[in-house]
Amino acid sequence: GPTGARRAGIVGIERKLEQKRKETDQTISVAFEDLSNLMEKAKDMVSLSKTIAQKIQDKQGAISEDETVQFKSYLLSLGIPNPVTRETHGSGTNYHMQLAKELAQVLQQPLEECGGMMSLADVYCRVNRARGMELLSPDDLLNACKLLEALKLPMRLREFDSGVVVVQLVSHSEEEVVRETSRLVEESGSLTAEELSRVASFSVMLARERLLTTEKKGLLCRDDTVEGLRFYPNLFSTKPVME
Amino acid sequence: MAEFQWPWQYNFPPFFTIQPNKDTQAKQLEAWCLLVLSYCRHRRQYSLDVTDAQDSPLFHNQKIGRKLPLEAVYTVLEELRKKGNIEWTDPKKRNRCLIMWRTPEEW
Repeated sequence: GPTGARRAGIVGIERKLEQKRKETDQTISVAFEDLSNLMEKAKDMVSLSKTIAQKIQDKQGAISEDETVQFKSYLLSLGIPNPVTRETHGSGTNYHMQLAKELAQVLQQPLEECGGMMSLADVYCRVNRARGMELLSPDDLLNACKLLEALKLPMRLREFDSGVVVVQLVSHSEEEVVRETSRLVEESGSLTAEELSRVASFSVMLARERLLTTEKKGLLCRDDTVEGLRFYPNLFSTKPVME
Repeated sequence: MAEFQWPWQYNFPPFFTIQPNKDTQAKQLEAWCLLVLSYCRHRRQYSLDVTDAQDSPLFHNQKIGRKLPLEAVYTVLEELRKKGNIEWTDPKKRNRCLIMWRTPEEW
């Protein structure tokens, strides 16, 4: 009949679309409602944890180390790290300690292969690429690395003056770097960071840090031009002023 | 007039970049001061115009394509002033200075 024909026509399609849209709207609003309920719950947790943090501060020393550790893992699972009040009560978390140990194992060989030093960004890429699932957040990695030293693991977190952060092997000494870098520069006459990275296969960023460290120690000097920043053996200190 | 004898540093490119390492910089500035004084003595020059000097061979080595930046020229000249070897004709503008190969005390 005519009604059936109309339902199959354009109006019918429009009506169907309208119905679909309404359904989707409903699903979305339900999701949002759930989400705000969930947030309401989390908000309670946050305020509760703040109260506990306050209590810990009040009773400084009265609460055992174990309790603070547990509290920290609660905070961590909530995603409300609270360093200001936490740092004074136990340093770091259980999770980060375990993570640091795992990192020490995973990184030992790659570090040896790339000259004893790796930028934190490279470490982050390597570890997360190998994991696939349950990836590390940058904060987790940084916090775990900060514990490397306290746990007496064979590597250290180190920050250069430029703010570049690296992980380096304990066995990897500064003097060694300085000696090796100045030898490479002397062999080539002069080097830029890019050239050094090619000669010695470090990343450009680390090559730059090596050159700067060696310059700081007084074994290199710089030639800064539009062509780039080039490092030379420090003849100012090895050759007499007048010759 | 005999050819001026340039010191070895003049052909060493890092000479034209003020060194950030303080020890290195001290040696570099010492060499610059000596160079400026001996250059002016060689040319029997008693005054120096900063802009002209920057373009002269003294601060511009065309052979290796390096020129001491203006800021660095001032660093060198201020170092000489501290030693008592130069005096600004106008200390506010600092565009021209008198050169004393020997300090007034030495005279």
